[in-house]
Amino acid sequence: MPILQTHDVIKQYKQYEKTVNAVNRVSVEIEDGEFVAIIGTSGSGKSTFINLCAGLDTPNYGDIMIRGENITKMKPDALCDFRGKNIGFIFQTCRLVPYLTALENILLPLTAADRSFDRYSERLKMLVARLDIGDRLNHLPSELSGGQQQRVAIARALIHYPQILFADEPTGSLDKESAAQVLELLLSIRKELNQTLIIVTHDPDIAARADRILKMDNGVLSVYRDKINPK
Amino acid sequence: MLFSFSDLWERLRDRWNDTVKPSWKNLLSERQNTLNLFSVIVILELLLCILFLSYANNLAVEATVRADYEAFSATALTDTNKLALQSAMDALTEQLNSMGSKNTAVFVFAAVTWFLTAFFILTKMISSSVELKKFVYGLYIAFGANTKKIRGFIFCQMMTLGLVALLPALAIASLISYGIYGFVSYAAIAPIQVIRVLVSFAVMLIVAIAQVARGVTKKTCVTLLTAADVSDMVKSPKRSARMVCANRPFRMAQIALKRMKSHYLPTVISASLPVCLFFCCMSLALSNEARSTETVNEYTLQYPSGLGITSYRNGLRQALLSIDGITDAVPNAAATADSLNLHMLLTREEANRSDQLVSCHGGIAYMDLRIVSADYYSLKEKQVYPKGSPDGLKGNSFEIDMPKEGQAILITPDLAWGKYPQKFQPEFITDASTIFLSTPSETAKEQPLEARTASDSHEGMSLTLTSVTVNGRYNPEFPYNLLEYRLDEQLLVLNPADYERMTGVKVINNIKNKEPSPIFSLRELGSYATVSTAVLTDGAESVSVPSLYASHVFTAEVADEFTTKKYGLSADVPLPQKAGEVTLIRSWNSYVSESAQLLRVSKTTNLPTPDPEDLVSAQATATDRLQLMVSAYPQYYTEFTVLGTVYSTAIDHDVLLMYEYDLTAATGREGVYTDVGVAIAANIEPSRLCSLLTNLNMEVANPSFAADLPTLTQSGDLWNAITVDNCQYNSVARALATILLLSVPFIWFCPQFNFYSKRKNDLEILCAIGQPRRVILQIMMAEGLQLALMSALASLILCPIFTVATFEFLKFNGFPFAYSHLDPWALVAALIYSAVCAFLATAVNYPILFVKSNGKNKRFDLSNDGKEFI
Repeated sequence: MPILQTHDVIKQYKQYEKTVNAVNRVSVEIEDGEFVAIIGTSGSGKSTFINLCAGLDTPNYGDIMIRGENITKMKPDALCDFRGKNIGFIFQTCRLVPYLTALENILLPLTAADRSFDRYSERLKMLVARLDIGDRLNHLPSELSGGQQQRVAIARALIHYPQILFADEPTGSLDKESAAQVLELLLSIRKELNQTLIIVTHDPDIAARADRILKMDNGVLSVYRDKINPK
Repeated sequence: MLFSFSDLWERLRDRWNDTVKPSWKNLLSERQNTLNLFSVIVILELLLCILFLSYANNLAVEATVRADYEAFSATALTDTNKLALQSAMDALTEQLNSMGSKNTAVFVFAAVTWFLTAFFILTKMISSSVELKKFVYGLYIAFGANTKKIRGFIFCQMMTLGLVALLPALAIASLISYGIYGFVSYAAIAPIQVIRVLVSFAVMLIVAIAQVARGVTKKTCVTLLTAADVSDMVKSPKRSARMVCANRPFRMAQIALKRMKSHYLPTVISASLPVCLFFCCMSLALSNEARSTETVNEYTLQYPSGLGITSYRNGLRQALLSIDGITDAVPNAAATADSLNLHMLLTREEANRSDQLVSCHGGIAYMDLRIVSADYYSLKEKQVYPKGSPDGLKGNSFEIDMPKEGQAILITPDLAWGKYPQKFQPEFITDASTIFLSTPSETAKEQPLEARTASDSHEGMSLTLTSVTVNGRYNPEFPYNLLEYRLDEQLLVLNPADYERMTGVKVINNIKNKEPSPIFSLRELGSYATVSTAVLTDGAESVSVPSLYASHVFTAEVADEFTTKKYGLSADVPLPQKAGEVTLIRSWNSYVSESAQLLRVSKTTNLPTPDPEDLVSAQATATDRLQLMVSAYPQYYTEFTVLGTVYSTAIDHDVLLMYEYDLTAATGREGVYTDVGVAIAANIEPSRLCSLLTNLNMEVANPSFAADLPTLTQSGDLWNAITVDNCQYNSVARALATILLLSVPFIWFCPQFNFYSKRKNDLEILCAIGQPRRVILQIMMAEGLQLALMSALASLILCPIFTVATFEFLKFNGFPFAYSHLDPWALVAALIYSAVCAFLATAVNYPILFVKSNGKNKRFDLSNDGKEFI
């Protein structure tokens, strides 16, 4: 059973009198544990689509099913709960809360969903060790480098055992070296946890490592390359 | 075991980690904002403290009064005096019982007002803070926080502030308690007080936060996460484009106000609320203060068979004034004229003392009229007049207060509702002098009073007082600042020649036995166009008079017969009007019957309807229109036979006042008073009042004053007499007003600071594209100026609404507050203060946000034209 299914998803924005279809009738299925990269030019609708899939935005039309549950039909609070349990998200800029320490930022999904920390202590230890941020946990984001901030953001996205992880250009704001490090960490953890990963990227190197590459062009999604089921 | 301490501890620890700690960090991250919120919360809690404190004090006052009263009634009711004290005691009991409910009503009203105001202010301030950190809330929601979590998160922050704010609030409340009551009330710092304040605050907070949290969670995460500026407040990109195109700061500010009205409007309204409440509290204090200085007739001694004038003057009055606490005794010779069909008579001595008496003929004194602005007393036994309806007086009893013994003052519906400024209309109370009454049959026996010459052969007397109950009451404090209206009414008391000379209306005298008679000529109607209220006519010729009350302009004599015509403009055919034109004839339907009391109605009929189109003809002059009405409008006429005559009189409602000596000459009896009002000192202590009642009981039982014993009734308001001072309503209201005013700058500053923090980049971009940096200052000052105007306007609109609502509520609950005590200076001060706060709270953000941040590295230079920014 696919972990993510979308059916005829449409997202429109109004600009003056004109309606722009940022996402235009996109239907796609992503299997559990799959690593999918979405590529496309700026403004093609990649980020909008990934936001829709993660439940951060609502489509104008169509259904989005995660693990068989239609998130477009959920009430706001139910969607929040669902997101808190099943979805992890890494933003392009780290989007850490500036007045919380790195540790508190990592634990944000737990505090947001009122979860007891104790159940996640092993996971925290593992993530901290794998991401190598153990000595920076009590530092504020402003005291961390860009790479460290993004590693904290990755830990935050994974702390609550999400079924599916979305990443919107996770290395977009990093220099090449930091980007490579972060990406390696992300992919190795993903492999280790057999995590479904959907990543939006401009970087062909990152995309090349994905199981499947989807291309977004003017809101229309198409398969660019499929390693598992090559045509 | 279902419950374990370890579970509880764990839950508490989790709660600490996932809510309390992050929320505190959130608070501390924006110190400026938090400080503002804290200040407002201190003020809101302080208001609450004072309300609870005042309520507790009032309950204590009530308990003291009740204890004193019960001690007194235990002895008074076993007294063997013959005086019927029971009714007075019953009234006392009733008023005492109502004290508690009045207290509670006021407290509940104040608490509800606090709740609504605090709700509105805090909702605005919290949403402004949330707006500033939308991104953080967006993150929380993105990672699974639901509405409940967001609500709890904000609640934790606000409640923390609420708890911390309680300490200064209680400390200041204690100081204020000392200032108001002269002691630091235990109630101000009692644990129950703390709990009450906290619970009330928490309840209000829960309601306010629910609103804000719902607003946050309704938005999508993407909207929240990307809302780093104010772009989400702008609905139309077109308007934003216009702002960039605008080249003048004032225009830019104007567009900014328009496009971000979702921020400005709630801010203006929430900041205007305390200003309105300030005005309301100040007016209440002023009204209460004026009321508490008045001497009130608390008791009335009623003599069923009358109390002789001599007996009163030489006996009872002296005895009453010798009792400690009684400040005056006010006799009254009134009765319901409706039931007695009586003349009102006045002593010569008394009449001569009044400069309002304008003429005297044949033993009948005619009085001029004057208006007295009086407080509105909704005392138990007083009549409340229906607002705006002259009919309210007709046929009903109404009060006549006594400004000075022996001086008559009357007010007519015409004056009260027609000429007086609209805002004072409901507060009129009629005043009259000591007036004696005689029956028509008594008066008719005597000669040579002209008024009675023809009455033997006719049913009843022609000159009657209709529907007036006179209850005398002495109050030397009445403001007589409205007497200029007498000047208008002097026209009514001119002799016919003067009247004709001044008005141009010919008066035909000495009409006798004409059947029917053309008594007036139509002349100079144009000069009357705006005041004309009635037309007397025989069908061929008419006369316009200012009022039908001015029927004295003709000097009809006994047995004359003539006709009046009335044009039915009010009842069935509406008078067509054109914009800017004055209705020439207004309905005086209700006045006809009273004004014509000196005449006997003998016939009434209806005539056909005219074409209203003719009346609105563009060419028609005022005179044309009036004449058209006279000739063509539906009308009914009344024929009258004169049964009595009055010279040059200013009679309204046909009130005639007669000399005491004439009364004696005409009737052979001495004038008597029907009741005597007993005025007691204001703010008398309960124990002193009880002693006063006992002495009063003894004095009035003296059989030498009157043949029968009077009944003692409570006509005043014990609440006013006893509790006003003890409850310190004035001080409490002023304290609340001052505190409310203090909150205004904070309420303005907090949202404005947050708003400009988010707009900072938006404004600085102007410098980046080459505008001089002073443009930012100019824009902010222009916005501040426009907000100041909006704020003053909002306060001006809301102040009367709040005040009327409050006054009406208090009046409904038996508090005699009067609109005449509205404090115009407080209103002016409030408006200016509101405007200044709005301006400063906007302009002050410039040095804080734009100069300070820049000045860290280098001094800000206006002449630099923003180049350093680029």
